[in-house]
Amino acid sequence: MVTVVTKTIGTGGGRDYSTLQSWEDAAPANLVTSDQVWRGECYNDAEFTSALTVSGSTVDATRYKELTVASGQAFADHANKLTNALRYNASNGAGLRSTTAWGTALTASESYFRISRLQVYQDSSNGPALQISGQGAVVDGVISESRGGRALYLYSNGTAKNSLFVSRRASASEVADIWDGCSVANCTFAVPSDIAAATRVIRRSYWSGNTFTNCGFFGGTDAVSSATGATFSNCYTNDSTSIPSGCTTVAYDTSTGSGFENTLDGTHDYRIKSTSALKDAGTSTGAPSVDIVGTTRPQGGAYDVGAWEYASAGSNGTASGATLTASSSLIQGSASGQVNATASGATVSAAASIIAGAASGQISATAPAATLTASASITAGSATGTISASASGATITAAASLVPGSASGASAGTASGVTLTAACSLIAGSASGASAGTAAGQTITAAASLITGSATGQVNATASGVVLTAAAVVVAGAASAANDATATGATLTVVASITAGSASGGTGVQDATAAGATMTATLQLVAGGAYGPSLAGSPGFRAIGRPGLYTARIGADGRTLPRRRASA
Amino acid sequence: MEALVRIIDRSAAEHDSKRGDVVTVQADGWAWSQEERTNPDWLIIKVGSFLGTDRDTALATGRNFPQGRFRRREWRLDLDNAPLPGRFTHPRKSESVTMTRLAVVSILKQKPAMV
Repeated sequence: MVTVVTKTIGTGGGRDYSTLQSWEDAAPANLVTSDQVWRGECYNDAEFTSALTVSGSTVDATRYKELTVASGQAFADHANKLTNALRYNASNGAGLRSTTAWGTALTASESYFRISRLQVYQDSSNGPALQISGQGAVVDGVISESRGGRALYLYSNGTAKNSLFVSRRASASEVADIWDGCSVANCTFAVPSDIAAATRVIRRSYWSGNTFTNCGFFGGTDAVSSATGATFSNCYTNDSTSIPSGCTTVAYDTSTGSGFENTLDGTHDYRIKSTSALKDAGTSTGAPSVDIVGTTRPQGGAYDVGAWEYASAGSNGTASGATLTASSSLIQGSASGQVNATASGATVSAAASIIAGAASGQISATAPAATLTASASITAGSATGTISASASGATITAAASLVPGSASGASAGTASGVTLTAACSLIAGSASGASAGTAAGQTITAAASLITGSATGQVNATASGVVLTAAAVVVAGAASAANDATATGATLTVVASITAGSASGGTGVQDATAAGATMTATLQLVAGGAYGPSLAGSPGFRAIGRPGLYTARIGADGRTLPRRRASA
Repeated sequence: MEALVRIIDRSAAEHDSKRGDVVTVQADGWAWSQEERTNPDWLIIKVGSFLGTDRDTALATGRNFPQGRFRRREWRLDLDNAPLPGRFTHPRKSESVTMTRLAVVSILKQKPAMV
């Protein structure tokens, strides 16, 4: 049974290693006999500035070294990842930049090496960025740039996908040198347009068995120096002479050809625009399911070519405060539109959403960190699916919501940790479904809500722990629904409320139940003419034509203390 | 500068990390991790006036790749002939030692060509 040994790398306190090379050097000499994957997780405490050499250990296809970036630390995790320029920028995520002349930022002579989510930059006038001379390597979701030569050297039987490779050296020999048996999918290879073209984008080495799918080759005199033995599918280039079968010629521009955001050296940005010929020009065969920053492929009618999958812009939500948001969004099915949640603050948040005209699928947001918020939502005209948000850490907020026009599905938020907030909601025009929030921990807030035009359903909030707050809310025009909040613990607060605009003889049942040493139960009725046979603990509350806020206090022995009434 | 140096071979393979190989070089006062300060296979050498070119030499790699014919470091510190060589025996005897640049450069030796 292979053991994955994960070590943290960065200059922040508590990391296992402060440099990439010490992580690598600490690996067992023989990973096969130790039966391990030696995995390094980079943290963006500061830019890594010392070159890395990966070599020496005995490895095989299942026991190897793997270098990646910790969750929340990569350019693909950045709050503005959808609007950040797609190029090396250590401000956006963990990056390795070497300035050593005639050096190489990252060299791997060991087989089966894997690298993902990292940015690599050789910032000298000579030298490649990513030099992998061991076979069977995997490069996934990487930005690799070199000012001194090629951006990638990939040896036999390697795999590259969802990656950007840029050579910024004038008249470079090539952007990438790729050997036999390699599989390359949805990668962008380029030389900035204001730099003298490279002799070729892809250098011929041994082409036997190589496959290139949905790739872009721009900024070279030749797209490839020779294509003998290689297979190209849905690839695009600005080369117009003797291009291999499977490649299409388009202009290298920022409009209707390649349609990149920016092709200039100082400001290059290899995201594609909506006008790009690369948009929806790819094949699904062999294409990865997400792009370089995690956007689901395909968006729109088909897979895009290159590392970036274009997603149309839409409405944005912005929040500010002490505890705020990053964002990620997923759009699936045949949907168009995009929702971004943007926030800044000391506490990290992650969000994911799906908006669909007619979609079915599943969406989830997972965010582990010291302090974090995870949320997921689905908005649909007619949708079926499930949605979940899960988070683990010292302080957590997890939320999930389902907002359908006519939908059936489940929406759940689950959180575990020392301090938790879990919420889930179901908002429907005409919907049936269940929405539940469950939380367990020492300090918990759990909330569930049902807001309906005409709906049947159930909303439950359940919490258990030392300190608890549980709330359930139903807002209905004409609804029959059950809305329960249950909490058990030493100290707890239970809140249930119903708001009805014109509910006549409201059929909603709303229960708040709590047990513990100290409990406060509050029932709020806000109605023009609402009637609710609602319960908060043992006392019955009713509001007939008189909106109000009623509070009951129940002692540890279960006795009902004198009721108080507050204004609505 | 401060150099993290391997004081025992990681394996017998010629291309692997060897005793005397400089793992990495960082600025004075570098916040080494707990693992880097205690791993018995390593030692931190604090070098006064170590030059950038010295660092580049110490970290230079073999160039005759691919196909595995690659050596981690082209140069090594000849720790057996360093002043007070007992400081460099495995396992490490201290978190760090301090040496002059001259002393370090005098034991920085280019490895013989690979066979």
